[in-house]
Amino acid sequence: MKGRRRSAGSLLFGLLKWAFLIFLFVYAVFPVIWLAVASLKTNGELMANPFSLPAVWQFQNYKKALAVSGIARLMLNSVIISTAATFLNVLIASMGAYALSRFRFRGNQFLKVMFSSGILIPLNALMIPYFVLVNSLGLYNTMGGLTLVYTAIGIPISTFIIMGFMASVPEELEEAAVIDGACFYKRFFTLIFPLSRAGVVTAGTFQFLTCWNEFVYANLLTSSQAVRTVQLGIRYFTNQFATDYVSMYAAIIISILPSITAYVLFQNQIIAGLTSGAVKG
Amino acid sequence: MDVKREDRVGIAVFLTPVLVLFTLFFIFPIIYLVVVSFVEWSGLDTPVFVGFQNYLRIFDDKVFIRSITNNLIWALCAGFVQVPLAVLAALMLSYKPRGWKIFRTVYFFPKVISAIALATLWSAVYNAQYGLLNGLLRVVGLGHLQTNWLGTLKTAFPSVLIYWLFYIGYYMIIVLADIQGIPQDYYEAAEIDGAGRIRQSLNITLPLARTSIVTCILLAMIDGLRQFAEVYILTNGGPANRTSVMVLYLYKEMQNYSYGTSSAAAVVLIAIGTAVILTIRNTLGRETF
Amino acid sequence: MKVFKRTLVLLLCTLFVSSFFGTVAAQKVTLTWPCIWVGVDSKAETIKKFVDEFNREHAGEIEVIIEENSDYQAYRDKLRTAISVGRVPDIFTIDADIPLYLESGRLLDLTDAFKDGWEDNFVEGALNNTTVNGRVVAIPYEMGPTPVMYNKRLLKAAGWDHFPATFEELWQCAEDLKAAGITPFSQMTGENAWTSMLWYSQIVVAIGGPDVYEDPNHPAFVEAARVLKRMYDYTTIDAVGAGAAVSGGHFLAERTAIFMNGPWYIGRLQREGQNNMYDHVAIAPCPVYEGGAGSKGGYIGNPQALLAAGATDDEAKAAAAIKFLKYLTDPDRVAELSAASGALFYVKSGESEFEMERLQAEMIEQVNQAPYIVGHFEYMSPARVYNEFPMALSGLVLGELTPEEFVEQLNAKR
Repeated sequence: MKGRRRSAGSLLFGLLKWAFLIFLFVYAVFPVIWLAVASLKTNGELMANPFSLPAVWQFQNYKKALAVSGIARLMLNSVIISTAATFLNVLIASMGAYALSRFRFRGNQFLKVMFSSGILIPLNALMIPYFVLVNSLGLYNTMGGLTLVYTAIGIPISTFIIMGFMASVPEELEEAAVIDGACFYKRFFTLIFPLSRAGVVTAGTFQFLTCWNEFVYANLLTSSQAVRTVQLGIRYFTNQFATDYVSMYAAIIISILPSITAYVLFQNQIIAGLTSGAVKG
Repeated sequence: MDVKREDRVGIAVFLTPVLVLFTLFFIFPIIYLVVVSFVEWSGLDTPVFVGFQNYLRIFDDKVFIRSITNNLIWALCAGFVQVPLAVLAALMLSYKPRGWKIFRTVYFFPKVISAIALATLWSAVYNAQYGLLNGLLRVVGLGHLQTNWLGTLKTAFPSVLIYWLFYIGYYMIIVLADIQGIPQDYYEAAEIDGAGRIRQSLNITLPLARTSIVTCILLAMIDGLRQFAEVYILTNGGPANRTSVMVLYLYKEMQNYSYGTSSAAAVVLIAIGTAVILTIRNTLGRETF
Repeated sequence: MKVFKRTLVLLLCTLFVSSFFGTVAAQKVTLTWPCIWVGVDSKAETIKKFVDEFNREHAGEIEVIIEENSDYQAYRDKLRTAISVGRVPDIFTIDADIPLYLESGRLLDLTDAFKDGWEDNFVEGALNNTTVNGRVVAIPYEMGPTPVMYNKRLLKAAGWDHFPATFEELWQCAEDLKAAGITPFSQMTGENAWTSMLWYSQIVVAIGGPDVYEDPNHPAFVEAARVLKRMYDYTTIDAVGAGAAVSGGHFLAERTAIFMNGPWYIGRLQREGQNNMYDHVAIAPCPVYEGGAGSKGGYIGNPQALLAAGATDDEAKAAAAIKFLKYLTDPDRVAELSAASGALFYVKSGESEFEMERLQAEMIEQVNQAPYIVGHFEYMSPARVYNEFPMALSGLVLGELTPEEFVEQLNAKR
């Protein structure tokens, strides 16, 4: 239907398109494959040539990763903490975003600017205040403490993202709901929140990945393996004088397997969440 | 919407948790940073008030100025190279070419690998002795371009920046999902008008996916402004501070037991960051944010 | 100024009142020890065994709890943060910035504990490192001598059957190696520039003598920069920006002939060296610099870990901490720890049932014969200076800085 006369052009276009998509594919899959191969070498082999295949596949690296760092337990902790912190974070941020993005009241602009100023706060600089805060709340070395910190550090960015999506829901929709007698909470839970799913899921995945990959506070605010997270398990192989890279890579592979599996299994749901189906306009 | 009387309680209830958390974890710490930025303090001795001395010191330090420049370049490249690449990929995948779901899945992989693994891989790729990049150049007959990528004054910063720009998966997924949410009738109307795919993309898809694209630009720029882990592992700011960034700078000041200058740098970062975010909001995103 | 101090203190206080209540002392004293000797560290197993035994011996009375800190940089960050807000751990180790910690007043005063002959356990003069105003506030524990390590097989291939005794010989040896197609030195400017920093330390002392650090403007620092830069003519092409894994990896893969590191590296030579290269590794003190003030056989080495305890008003806790420190520095235990890990200590070794590893024994012998042992540059300099070292070094090697400017840039940080 599009006309045969553009076939040469569209052939070239198609070629470029596939080259681009395949380049990105190789680019993205390469680190995973490299990591998987490297995790089966010896440290000596890895340092001699990072891109060679192992002479003997060193499956005991995985045994070591599992045994030495107790990574199974740490992963469970990570799942609990990241899930809880993501859930709390997007709920609290969505509530705030609803109030800020859809109502005009005095101080509204001020609050928006204030929240944006929190987005860029360098977390590395806050070791002292967070350490003292968590200690004074009696939450040092607890999963609750980490969950609270993670929930909080993502608040500005989540609020900001969700506000953008909430603001794009047409006003008439909500006004119609008001006329139908829907109260504030009902409008939020049955109308605006579902229609801003895309924003909520965007913020949620960002938040989850932040929590899952966070290392500085996971180390600073805990002292026992019972409450620590998987990132500490990975760093278990970096010591004062030497890093046992191959075991660390094995630990990383172990730690990303669940995320990749979960992502492959649930991606349709995640994507469906991102596809808001909101009325565009 | 204008606030109706019965909504007031709801608004207050909804704002309370977010404000409590923000006060505890952001307002107090920002006050802390500002206060400390006016003192000289090693963490082990008694703080001494020094006025604006710390600010003068860091702005007098060419490494800090370079860090700011690097961060701004990084943010611009992230927002206006990385995200457009992601949008391009999303547009291509939105027509569901063969295997598009596999592409969508795999593009996301690097995001779940920890920075430490990605960075050690790339330092091996860039290595001058056995690196993959030099090997590749030799194979395609460009051997004369071989260099110690992370170890020369000219190539270090571009190398640290460029490899990272092609990891687009996260932004691609956000934009793709948004595009796929656009109702088909828009396109049907355009088809009747005889608009080709490129015109459809420009006139329908991009404007309608605006919120997600602007969100991605913001997220990418923020990522660029607070870069730390990758640089720290790849180069630690070297050679000769060429790859330094602001968070690395303030982290090193902490390692130097100089909480005053470290906090001053943090305050500057917050100010620059807020300015950038508000600029983007007030230009690209003025209708939505 | 006062007002500002007050605001700061007030801010911290109001935010964090309850943190000052601390743990309630029950009858049993618990000592927390954020310990770096965990995970895959070579001392991990033995330390764990010691702590378990100690806890068994003092059941119901004292319990030592190990907080595992494998990532070393993260440990430093955490320790600095905790001490900054007054939550000093009960037992901990430090390795750099010693004067800052020693003078902070937050370390437990151990002077009285040393009156009962404990000092005899240590090598002579060891406690001078940790005495401030006549008070002993930390214990030198692990020793880090860092000799030259070289690959005899590769040197032989270049016609050398001994390690050069002078720098003139060293340059000749480097030329010969290069001619034989072998890269002479492992060097690095990445991370903390460890191996190059050790070379710099060696050269500075070889030129300026053991007291060179008393004057940061000593000409030896400039001269040593010139020498180190020359060494980069004989190193791998990836040396600028290389980290420990790269520079060490070259030596382990026999791509370089000469390397510099400490006793903790011996285990890696055995495990990770390619083609059994460990069998060909020997160690030597730094060559003599012609016309320099250093002496033959001089060594670079310093406390790699100092044991310390947090200052406390709780006498029971202080007593328990001292008891534990004495337990850890018991000569028989140190002998066991040393044999199991390859590390060397400031404690005179007791009888050991274990046989000493070859290079370790050589190192001890050379240390014992050394006319002096001087700390390395990182140990002898403030944090600002040693953190700048990798940046200044890469600038020097890439030609952005002259040797004079290199030293200036470092000293500007003082």
